[in-house]
Amino acid sequence: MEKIRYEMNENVVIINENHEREDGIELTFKIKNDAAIKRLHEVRNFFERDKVYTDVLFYTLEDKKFQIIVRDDSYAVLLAALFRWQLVKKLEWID
Amino acid sequence: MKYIKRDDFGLMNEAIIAIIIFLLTYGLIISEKIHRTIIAMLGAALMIVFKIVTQETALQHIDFNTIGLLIGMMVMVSITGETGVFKFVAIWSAKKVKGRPIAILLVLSLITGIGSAFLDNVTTVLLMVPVTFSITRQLNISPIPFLISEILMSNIGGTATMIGDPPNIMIGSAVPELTFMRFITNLTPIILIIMVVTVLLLMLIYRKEFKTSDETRKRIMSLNEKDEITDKLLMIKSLTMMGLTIIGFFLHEWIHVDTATVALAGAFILLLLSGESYLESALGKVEWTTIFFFVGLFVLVSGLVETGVIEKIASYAIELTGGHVTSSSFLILWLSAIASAFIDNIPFVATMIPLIQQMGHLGIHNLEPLWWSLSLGACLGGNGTLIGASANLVVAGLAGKEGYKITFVKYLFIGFPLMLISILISMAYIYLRYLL
Repeated sequence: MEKIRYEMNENVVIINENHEREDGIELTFKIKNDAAIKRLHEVRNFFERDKVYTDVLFYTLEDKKFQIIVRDDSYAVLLAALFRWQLVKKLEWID
Repeated sequence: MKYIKRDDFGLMNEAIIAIIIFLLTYGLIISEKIHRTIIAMLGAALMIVFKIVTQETALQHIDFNTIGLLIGMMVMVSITGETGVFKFVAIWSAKKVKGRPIAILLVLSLITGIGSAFLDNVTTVLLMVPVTFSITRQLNISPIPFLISEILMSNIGGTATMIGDPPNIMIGSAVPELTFMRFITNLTPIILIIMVVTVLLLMLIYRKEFKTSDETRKRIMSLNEKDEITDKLLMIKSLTMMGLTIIGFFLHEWIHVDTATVALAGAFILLLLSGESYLESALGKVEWTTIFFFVGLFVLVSGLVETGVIEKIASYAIELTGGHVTSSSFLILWLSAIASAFIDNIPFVATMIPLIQQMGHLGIHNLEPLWWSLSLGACLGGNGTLIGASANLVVAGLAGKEGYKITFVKYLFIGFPLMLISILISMAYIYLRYLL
């Protein structure tokens, strides 16, 4: 089965992933500038505007850190949104 | 002279037709095969087409205070909801209790209960459910106990004020002497007791359900709730107008302005302050299906009132209870509670209001305990089953969609006994305060 791979936009964000959860994947974001925070808020608005509440959950932490818990079935959609708002600069399917 | 044909029970032909239309409509509403608003409006139309009531009479029976109050509050809540203030309060509270799940159950329940006292129950749960998912996911625990607790508390909290639940809005609008302040002084004390008892029982029921670690609790403590506020200025405007509107409700009997005027004025002043860009979306978020459901029901019940059916049922009820206030109150309380656990309490209350008014005309002079019995029974009864109130179905629907199934039976085992306890407490309260 194909897997998705991404390359973060390291000029603005550092993304760490934690795959130990049973109910999805946890991503932690360390954002480097306010413009990128605004873009991450756009991503958040995009997911919170729909009526599905548990696909992608956003949390704001201290020190410009953010956390997302994403359900496995919504992982690719989240990455596509991060790509759309340029927090991820490359996205590809690999074997 | 017009010849009026009566059957053996002394009812006119028009009354028989009105009863048939009413029962048919009621049956279709309960069956939930077709949307309740369509059925209620068509039932209302039949009352006019069959000349049971004229269009003018039908319009006179529509309680525009109920309609205006609902629209005003819906507009205000739709704007306030967009500011993120509910998420802020929920996360702030979760942090205040150090992320302990059982304490979070308590605070989320209380926020829902208090919110529902001033906002529509469905709106309150719609605002609370997403943040509940958010917090429980972070704690790695099931959201179901929290959601069930929020259902129960939304219906209980809604009973506390005149604007908290549609039955209270209808009762308060139909009986001018039952002002906003009188709802507070008569219902809020008992609702606070029921809230405390229910929350304690829920904490007892769910005390062993939650297993979390220090690590997960730390996650809650590291959240920054301030970021949940999406528009600070709009939040200030919304909360100010909401506060002023509630003050207006308290003062409405002294300033001689009806509650609908207060709510609509508050809503449109908020729209003036927030800017025209919110006008379309705020009016779009008004639940017009609910509004037209009310319109249909008022006309439907007018058919029974105008043909004397309500008067007949009221006299039967008085015969049954011997005209005693105590037995009449308890009959209304339990009948309302059991009926509201299985059917929509809005049509039930729409039917009961003229019935109680008629009981007053037929000799029961102290109607006050009857009104509070109707309110407590109809609002709290909704907790009995998953289909008892709109908020229950909304939460169950949202939870099911997210993969957390709240079944009818699972809910029944928690909701029905807690509903019975709340009605027993209400019964004791009504007896001690009004009938002793």
